[in-house]
Amino acid sequence: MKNRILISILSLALFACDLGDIEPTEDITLDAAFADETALGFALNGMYDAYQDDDVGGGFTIFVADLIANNDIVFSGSFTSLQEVRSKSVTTSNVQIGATWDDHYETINAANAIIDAIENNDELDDGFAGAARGQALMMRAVCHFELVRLYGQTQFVPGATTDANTQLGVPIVTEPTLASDQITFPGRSTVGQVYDAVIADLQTAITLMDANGGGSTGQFDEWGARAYLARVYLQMADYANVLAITNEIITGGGFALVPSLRDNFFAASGEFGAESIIEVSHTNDDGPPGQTLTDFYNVNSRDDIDVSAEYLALEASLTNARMDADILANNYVVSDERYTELIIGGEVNKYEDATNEADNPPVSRYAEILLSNAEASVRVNGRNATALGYLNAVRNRSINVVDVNGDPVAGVIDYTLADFTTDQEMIDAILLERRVELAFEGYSWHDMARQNLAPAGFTWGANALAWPIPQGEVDVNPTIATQQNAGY
Amino acid sequence: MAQRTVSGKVVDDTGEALPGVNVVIKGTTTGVTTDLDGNYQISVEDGATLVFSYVGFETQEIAVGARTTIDVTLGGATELQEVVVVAFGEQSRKTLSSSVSSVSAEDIANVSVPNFERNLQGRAAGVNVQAASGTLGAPAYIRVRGTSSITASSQPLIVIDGVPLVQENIGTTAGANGQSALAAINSNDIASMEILKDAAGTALYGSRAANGVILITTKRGQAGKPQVNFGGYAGWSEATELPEILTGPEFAEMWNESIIGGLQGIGFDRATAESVGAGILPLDPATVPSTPWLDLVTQTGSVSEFYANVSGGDESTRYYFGATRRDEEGFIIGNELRRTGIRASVDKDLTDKIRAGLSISPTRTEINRIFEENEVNAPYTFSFLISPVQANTDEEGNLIDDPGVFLRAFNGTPTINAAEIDFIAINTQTLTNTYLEVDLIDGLTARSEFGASFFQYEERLRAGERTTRGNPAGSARGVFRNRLNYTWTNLLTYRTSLGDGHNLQVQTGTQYQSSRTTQVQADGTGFPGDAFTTLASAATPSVIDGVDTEFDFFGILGRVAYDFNQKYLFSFNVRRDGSSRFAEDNRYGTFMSVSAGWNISDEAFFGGASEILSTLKLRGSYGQVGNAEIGNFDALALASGTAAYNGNPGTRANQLSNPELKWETTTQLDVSLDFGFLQDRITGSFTYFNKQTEDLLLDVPIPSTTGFTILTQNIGELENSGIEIELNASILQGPLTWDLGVNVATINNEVKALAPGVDIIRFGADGENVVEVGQPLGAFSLVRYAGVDPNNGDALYINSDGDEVNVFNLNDRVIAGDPFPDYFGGINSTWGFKGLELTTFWQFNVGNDVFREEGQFSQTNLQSIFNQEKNQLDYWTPTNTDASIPQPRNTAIIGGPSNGGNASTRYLEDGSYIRLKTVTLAYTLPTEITQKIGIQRIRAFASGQNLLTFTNYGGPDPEVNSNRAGNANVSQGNTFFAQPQAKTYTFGLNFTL
Repeated sequence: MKNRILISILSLALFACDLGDIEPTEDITLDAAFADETALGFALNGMYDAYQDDDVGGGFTIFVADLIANNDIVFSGSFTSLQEVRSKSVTTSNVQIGATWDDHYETINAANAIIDAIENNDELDDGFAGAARGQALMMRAVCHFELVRLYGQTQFVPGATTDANTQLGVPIVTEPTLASDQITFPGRSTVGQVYDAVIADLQTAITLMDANGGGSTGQFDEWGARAYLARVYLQMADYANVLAITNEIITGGGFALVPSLRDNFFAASGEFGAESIIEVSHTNDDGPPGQTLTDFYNVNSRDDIDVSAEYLALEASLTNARMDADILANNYVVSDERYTELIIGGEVNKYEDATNEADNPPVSRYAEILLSNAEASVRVNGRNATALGYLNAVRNRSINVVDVNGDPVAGVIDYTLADFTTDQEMIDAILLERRVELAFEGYSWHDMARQNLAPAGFTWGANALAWPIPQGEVDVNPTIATQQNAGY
Repeated sequence: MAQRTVSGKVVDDTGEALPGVNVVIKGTTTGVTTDLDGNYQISVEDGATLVFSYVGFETQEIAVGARTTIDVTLGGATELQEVVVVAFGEQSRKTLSSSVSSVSAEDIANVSVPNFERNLQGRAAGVNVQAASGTLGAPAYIRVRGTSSITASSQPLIVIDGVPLVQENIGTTAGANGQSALAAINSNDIASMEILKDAAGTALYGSRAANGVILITTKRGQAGKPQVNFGGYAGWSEATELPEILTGPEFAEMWNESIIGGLQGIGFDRATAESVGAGILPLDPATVPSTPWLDLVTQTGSVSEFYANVSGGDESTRYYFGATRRDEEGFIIGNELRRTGIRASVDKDLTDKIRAGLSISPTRTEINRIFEENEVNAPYTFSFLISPVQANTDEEGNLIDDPGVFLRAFNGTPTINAAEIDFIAINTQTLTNTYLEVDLIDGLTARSEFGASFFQYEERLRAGERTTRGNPAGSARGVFRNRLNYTWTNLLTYRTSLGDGHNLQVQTGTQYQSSRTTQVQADGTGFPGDAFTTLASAATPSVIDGVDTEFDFFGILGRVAYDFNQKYLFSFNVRRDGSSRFAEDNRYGTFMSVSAGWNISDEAFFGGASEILSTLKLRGSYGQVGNAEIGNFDALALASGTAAYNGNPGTRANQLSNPELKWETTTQLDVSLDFGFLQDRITGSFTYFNKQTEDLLLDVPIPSTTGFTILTQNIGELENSGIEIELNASILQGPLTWDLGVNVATINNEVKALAPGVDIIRFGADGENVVEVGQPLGAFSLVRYAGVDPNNGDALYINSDGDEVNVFNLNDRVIAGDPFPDYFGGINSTWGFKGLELTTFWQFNVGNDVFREEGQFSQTNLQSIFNQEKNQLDYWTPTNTDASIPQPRNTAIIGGPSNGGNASTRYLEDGSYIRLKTVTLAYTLPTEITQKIGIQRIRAFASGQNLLTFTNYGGPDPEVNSNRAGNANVSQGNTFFAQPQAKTYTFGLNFTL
């Protein structure tokens, strides 16, 4: 009996003599993640998932432009990090500037991993490889561009060449980090070098996606790449290129203004409509809840943001100033959907899904292209009918004139070329329209910067208008530690 | 040979009858136990020898001879050798050469605590327990001899009846730390807790022993007639202290000033600021409402706990059955806890050589949770911060859910959130343990033991449509977590006496542990009304999430202990240990320790001094143990599958590989002197320890330009050293007795090295918690605040040149304090007179700093829209230039830089305190009276918890520890609206039949 028990115990003990083979179930190993077309397809989605993050395309890059410009909105939120952004008094440890930095580079790394895997895998289908590489290149360009606009020592000097923009920009990262021996400590390139890299990536992306197609809904395609490239040239005040590229989009892209501006925004009807060129997908269970645009702008969410009196007052310039005797005599009623539908009770109503906060951040829509084209066209060729047509197309969609019976009256409030005695007057009209049309969509500060303007109380190029390199980066990267922006 | 009957009485050396003494005929399994009066009767054959044994007394063997009556006096107190539970066994304290502190069931009986680990607070030298907050179910941070990791957990390994528990905070974080999985442990089941502190004590737990080991032994039956215990207590509770905040009129007046100040801050002169400011959101102090929000969400809580158990046994079987029920309502409305525990154990001697046993204890703990700390939904935080000029109800008494447009940062109100959020967590845990033990040959015992924890956690959260969280259409969450954690241990133990006083014990064995945790979570929003409470009615499923993770450990252990006449003691411990958590090539490590002791007072030369110095023992240990408390897959290069986009599955790299990853190694030296004076009326020990931890599992920051922010590496060194003193004195022994126990420990923590090129790693919202070479872990790096400039009300700081300036610059930060106490411990005093007993237990922490990060909201001289603490009222105005608080400048409304609200030493406070943790007055009725009604013992008591606190801390309660930086090791000593502890008053009765 005794011996049998002893033998049983000892033999049982021997069974339990090694560790099991435990594999993770929520993750896969990195070598498998980029192995073939299927895996790369998932990796592409993962790259967009990174872009969808709050701090990247998911909202903040839009929101911070409003915060820095601080003219269209009144921010009264409690986050100190955002208060600092608004008052241009950020510290190097500001969590928002840290997160924006980290998450953009995470997205860049996701893009570089795909680019690298495709370039080193000759078994892939050419069509897939080209389309995927194009999207990843565009993603890398988008992130570098957003970073350089926020962290560059100054903004791109409007009208100057890239070679002349020698102020420090951000590190350009084109190699993936997927193993600990690939960790690098890059220094900052100049703003001009970053713009060059961004343009080169976008141009390659356009070529690749033109030949091979782009991604599916919510992903980038050749037209998105052109729209972004136009935006880059606009930021440089390189109007000839803006005009050329927006013309390509207008003639070849097949986009159209949707009948009502609000259709672009109200989730149920408007996502990925005819006007949408780049749009970040948020669904109820993917993206939110988080600190999305809805969270900050919507009256039923955090409601940290109200529309400023300054912005509300613009309505008068858009319409009242154009009320001629005819309108007044007929008692026509003039209203602007951008003020009646997209602002309600002094609150932004572009992001209306307070329940799920799943509004899609609009990155580029056709109205932007028309307005950029009109502006560039006037700047390059002087005032002209084509530009006027685009201006009126955007404007007339939202401004409604009805007679006393409520029936629409056409043509009474349109601009005519005769309204402008100089080119500048027409440019000003386009810029005004642009400010109102694209408000709360991430343009305000950048549109100021390209006109050598600055938020109230600051001058263009002021140190406070550039975010510092985040402290976390300075602490661990000795190269960048010596390259902090002035004033920090 | 003739059978005859022998009878007699067994007493202790004071003549008191000993019931339940085992009386066994030597060489057989035949035996009886003594009855209540110590009497026994047994049939024996001529020539038999009786063995009298009783726990805690020396066994006596008496040859019957011709006698028919044998009265026995069992060895008394001076002979009593304290037995302590050690790793994989028990040992008499006299032969122990490692550092073990014990907390017994008596120490903690009837002390009202929501989670058992609170009972360790102040009870053992060198063991620092800090509850995260006073919220029911909140975790506590247990640190044995300091914090010995930066990235990995620093919680000690907790082993309950042989099963190492998985310690984690689970469920919705809810603004703080979530729920402690330890809430599932019923403290009434605990018979003793042993804290193994040094390398010799812990080495048999190998790669998980570096933070110390807490061994919990649960209650089991002992031979004797059935003993029935029942009783309980009930009482009420309130906050130790609530913050004092501004009333409506005070707020209104300060608000108006803050608008004017804000305008001055952006360049207006005073006169203009006054005239412009009068038009910006003015409040009339005479007419504004004044809602005492904190009063509206707090209450007098209640607590009750009842237990009943029966235990006993005969010569071959011992049993214990019991049940406990606890009901607690916290002082914050909506925070409740209900725990029901059942426990059964049986131990059976199958033959005189084979023993088997089983214990099983299912426990269900239901906690009505509340949001905490960094959450607007938190009743405490929201009430603290919401402006008092908002009305709570309308004229009909209905709660207002839209209290005005301005000053409303969030939907909902504290009272709406309290009433309309339903948030429940249910822990169900069954702990079970079964063993078979065989005496193979004389002295050689084989034991196989299987223990398991079946753990389930369920959470349901439903926030109504008017609440902050649920607005505008309601939201719900369900979480279900499941874990099987089992351990199989096989041991061979050989004890032998080699003769001439040489004693040897050899132990070897294996231990395998496996744990798998799975979880599903679903969130939904959009309900057709608050009446619909389940996720089924949610229009939109918003989060669907899952967890499935697993680890295992396998160890081979060995131990050799030798003593000569219990005078010279040696031990050697080794464990070869492996874990699935580590990189393939680095999976196994060997951990060894040695210890030695010398009972000097047993030496012949010592004889003369024994009148005064009765016991003297020198002991020491040295060895290495590990810490493996990191993620299950930290060694691998991974891509996460949680990167879906637009409804399509996606993957993204989320972790760089570390093929070298292994455990942290702690080398610990421990030297102790144990002493006893005046025939051990005064005993104590003095210990010095030094722990060097190297190969730290450190999340080393790397440039974010890589796409990653950290790389977990084995790099860096940390030192903890200190002194521990324990003293116990039986000061009075007459009819009036007074026992006093004091323990105190010091801790010096220093970061010795980090990764090459990395001298500092910052944590916390403003980088205020630093890991810096040469400093204690989590030291506070802050700009020094220098008060108010009387000329203009500017907040002043000291810059790096030592000058007072009005500019806040992070480059001026200095190390301004650290969260480690200089010394900490407890004082336990028991006075007895006849049946009356007064116990006081004080606990103290001295010299630790607390960073009140909450001050950046509640002590900002009103720079935003949040209510302020009363101490802000002495603010600067042109007519109050001698103020202690800078000029209010409302930057949220007006803009401009903060006037003093940045993270500075303004919010750093001395967190020292001494607190009357427990005071109990108890009366045990005289036995003569109770026995007349058939009851052995009746004890009535009144008890209080946290009744008195002495501190200079400016916040409500210094006993706080918010895990703000997402790293519990580094962020200790931070607080962000952590709820104060409860002050509890209870009354109870204990009966023993």
